Amino acid sequence: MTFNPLRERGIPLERQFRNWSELNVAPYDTHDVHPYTRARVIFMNGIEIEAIINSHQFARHTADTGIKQNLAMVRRVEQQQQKAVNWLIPGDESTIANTIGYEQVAVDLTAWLARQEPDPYLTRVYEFALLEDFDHLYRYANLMDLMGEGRKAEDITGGLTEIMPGRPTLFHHRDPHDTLRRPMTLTAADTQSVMNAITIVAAEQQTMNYYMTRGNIPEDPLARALYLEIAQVEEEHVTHYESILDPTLSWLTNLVLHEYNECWLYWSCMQTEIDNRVRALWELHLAMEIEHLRTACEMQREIEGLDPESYLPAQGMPEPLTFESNKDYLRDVLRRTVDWAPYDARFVPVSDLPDDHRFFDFQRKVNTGGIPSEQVIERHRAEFGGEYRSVTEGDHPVESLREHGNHDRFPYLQTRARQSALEEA
Amino acid sequence: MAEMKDMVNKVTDAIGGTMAKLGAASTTSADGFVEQAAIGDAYEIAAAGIALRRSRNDAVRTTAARMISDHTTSRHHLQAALEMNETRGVALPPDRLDTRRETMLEHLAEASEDSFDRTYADQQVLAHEETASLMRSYAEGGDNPQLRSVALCTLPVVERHLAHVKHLRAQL
Repeated sequence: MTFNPLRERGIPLERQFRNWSELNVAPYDTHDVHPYTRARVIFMNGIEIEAIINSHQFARHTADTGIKQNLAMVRRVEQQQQKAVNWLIPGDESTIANTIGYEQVAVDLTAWLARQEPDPYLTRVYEFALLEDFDHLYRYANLMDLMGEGRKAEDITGGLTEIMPGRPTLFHHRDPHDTLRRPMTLTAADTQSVMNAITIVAAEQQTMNYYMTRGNIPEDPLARALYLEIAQVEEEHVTHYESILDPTLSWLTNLVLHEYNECWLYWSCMQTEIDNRVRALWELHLAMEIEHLRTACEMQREIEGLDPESYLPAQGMPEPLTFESNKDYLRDVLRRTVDWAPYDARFVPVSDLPDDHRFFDFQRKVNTGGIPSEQVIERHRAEFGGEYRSVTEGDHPVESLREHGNHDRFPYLQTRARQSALEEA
Repeated sequence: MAEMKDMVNKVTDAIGGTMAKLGAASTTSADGFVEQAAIGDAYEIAAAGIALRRSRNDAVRTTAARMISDHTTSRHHLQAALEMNETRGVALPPDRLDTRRETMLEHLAEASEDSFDRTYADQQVLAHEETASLMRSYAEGGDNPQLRSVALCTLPVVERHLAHVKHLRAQL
C-alpha cells in the first residue's frame, strides 16, 4: 500500500473555506469514543498547529509579497482545519482526561515511529524519549485518581496502552546542552526518517504548548506542580526532536516537506479510522492538503528553480502511520534502555557519566525541595493504599520499578548513591 | 637552556601546524575527515587537561575548561554521526593521537613554568587554525552529506575558539 500525493488531485484553494457552522463540528462522546480516534484527533490538531506556526515563521522571514500572500491564503485554511479537528474534543472531557489522551498519543506515536525508523541512531533518539512520555502517562494517571475524576485512566486508554513507570520523571531534568542531538540531512536520510521527525516535533510541540497553557487550570497545588514539572520535560523533548531536523533547508523546502507530511498523515488517518464521521473529515482535509502541497511545489519551482520531485520519493510513502498497541515493544525498550542518559548527542548508561557531569548539578538545582512527580505517587499511596497502574502483560520488566521491587537497585538511584558517597568522602 | 628548548619546540610545532593546515584545507574524503576531526578533538581535550594541571592563569584555565567542554561535544557529535546510516562504510576514528599531536603534547608538558601559558596559547592558535581549515574545506567539498553537516555545525564554534585564543595570546 503506497500513497503519492504528487499524483493526486485536490480541492482548488478558493473552494476550501467553510462557514462557521461547518467548522463547529459536533464533538465525539468522551465515554464512547475509541481511544485511537481520540488519539488521532489530538494528534492531527498538533500537526495543524505546527503547519500554522511554521507558515507564520516563514512569513516573518521573507520580504516577498507574493510568498506572503500565498502563505496567508493557505494558512487561513489550515486554521479552519485546526478548528474542525480540535472542536471534535468535547467540553465535558476534563483537562486531566484529555491529558491522558495526550500521553497515550505520545507513547503509541513514538513507539510506532521508533519501530518504523530505518536509521539506528534516530531509533535511539525515539526510544530514549519514549520511556519518558511513558512515565508521564503513569504520573498523570495517578493524579487523575487524586483529582476525583470519577473514572480511571484505563477508561481513556481502553487498556491498549499499559500504565506503569518508565524512566522516572525526576531523572528527566538535565542540563540543556544534553538535549541536543545530531541532525539528519535531507540529501542522505530516508524519506521515512524525514517524515517521522517532522511528525514527532509537531506532536511534542503541541504537548508542550498544552501543558504550558492548561497546567495552571487545576486548583490543587500538587496538580499544578506536576503539570509545570512535566511541561519543562516537554520543552526538553521539543529541543531533542527538533535538533534531528536538517537545519540547512530553505524555507520553501521546509514548507513543501510540511505539506507532504500533512498529506501522508491525513491519508494515514483515513486508512485507519473506524469512526465514519471522523474519517470523512480526514478525507476532506486530505483533499485540501493535496492542493496545499501542489501550491508549495509550484512556488519552489518558480522561485528557486528547484523541482521538489528531485528530493521527494518517487514511489510516495509506503505505509500509513498507525495508532496501535505497542505493549511488547515498550517492555523490550524498558529492558534495554531504562538506564540511558544523554551526554551531548550520544546516549550512554547513566553509570558511565563522569562523576562531575553537569547532569548531577542540574538535578540538585531543580529537584531540591520536593519533586511533584514523586509526590503524586506518594500521595496516591497514602490515600488509596497503593499506586495506580494498569498492567496487562505481567510484572514490570524492570524489577526495581515494580511496585514492591527493590527500588534502590534502579541504576539512576545507584549512580546517585555513588555521587552522595563521593561527596561525603 | 630551557629557553632554547622552548624556542626549538615552538618552531617545530609551528612548522608542523602550518603544514597540517595546508593538508586540512584539501581534506574532502570521509575517512580523512573523521580521522583528523577525531584527533583534533582528542588533542584539544588532552592539552586542556595539561593546562588545568599546570597553569595558574585564570584566563588560561577558563579557556582550557571551555575547550574540554566544547571538544567533548564535537567528539560526541562525530560519534553520533558515525552511528547513522548516512555514514555507513566510513572508517571509525583512530583510538590514539598521531605523532605530530603527541609531540605537541610533549612540548606542552615539557614547557618551562615561565613559558607554559604562552606555549599553550601558541599551540591553541595553530590547532584551531588547522581545525577551522579542516571544517571549512570539508563543509564545502566533503564527499559525505552527514559529515559535511558535522563540519558545518562545528565550524562556527571553532572559529569563535580561534578568535578567543588569539585574543588570549595577545593578553599574555
